Amino acid sequence: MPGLVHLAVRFLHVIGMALLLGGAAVTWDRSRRASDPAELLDAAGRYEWLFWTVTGVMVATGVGNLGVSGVADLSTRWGAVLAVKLLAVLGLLGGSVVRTLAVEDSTGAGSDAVVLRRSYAATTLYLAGLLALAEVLAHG
Amino acid sequence: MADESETEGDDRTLPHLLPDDPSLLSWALGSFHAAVLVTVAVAALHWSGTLGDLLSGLNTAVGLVAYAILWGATWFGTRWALGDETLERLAAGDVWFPVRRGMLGGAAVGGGLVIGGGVLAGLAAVVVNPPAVVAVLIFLGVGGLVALAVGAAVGGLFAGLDAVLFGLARRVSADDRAP
Repeated sequence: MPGLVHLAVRFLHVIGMALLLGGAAVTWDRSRRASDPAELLDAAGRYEWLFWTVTGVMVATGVGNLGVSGVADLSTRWGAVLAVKLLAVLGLLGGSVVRTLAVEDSTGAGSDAVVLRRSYAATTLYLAGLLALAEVLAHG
Repeated sequence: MADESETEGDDRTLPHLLPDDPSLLSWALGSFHAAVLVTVAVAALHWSGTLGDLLSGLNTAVGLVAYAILWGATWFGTRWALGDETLERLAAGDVWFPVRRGMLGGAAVGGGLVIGGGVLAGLAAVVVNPPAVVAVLIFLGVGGLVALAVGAAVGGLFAGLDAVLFGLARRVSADDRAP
């Protein structure tokens, strides 16, 4: 039974990252192509709901993963990478609140689209960086 | 929600940052608060070298349920703190009003979690081990007061952080719209 829970936790963590990164990339692409401001805002709003829901699951399953895999001391390379990843997660959370508020502030018209495009481009690239850190933690 | 024409401050931003349906805002900020709380706690434990020991003694399913309860409570507290005139007052430059609301919301979340848990433990003690009820009552009294105080402090800090991020978002949007 514990093995099944651990498998489910890892599965949710991987699927969650795929949704966050893939969703950001798709929303970034739509913000570059969309001609209708309402369509762009609709896509952005849906991603924001997805982002905050999945992020909550990612934090919970991330801690669960640490419990399963064990935690090395901060003085080791793995421990140092984990510290960097935790700081990076805090950066993602803070930056994403600004992005969500900017989406709420957008009318979707004219230069607002530039804010959204840059926000989702930055989110996509930042998440790709976090994924690389996760790879280092998982596979050394 | 107050009439826009009656609210002082940046009237360009007000209509947009005060959505008719603030559910996304409260969901985002509630999720943000829960995630930051847990991430900061994990980082602090990692820095102190005690994270591995603590996690090895924690059941994964119990940890997930605890996070879900914290998430629900912070969302509820954030939704309450954002109600009334909080966003209008913040947009008008009054930071203390949202901080006070944040402190009250945080105290309710902290106190609610500890007192709620204590009441459940007390009910269980009545059935399983009646003498333990005294210990549970002491925990409820002392723990409840500490939780109210810590919750108020954390809620006030988060409200201040939200206000800073709120201001950053307005600047990002304003810079982009500048001619």
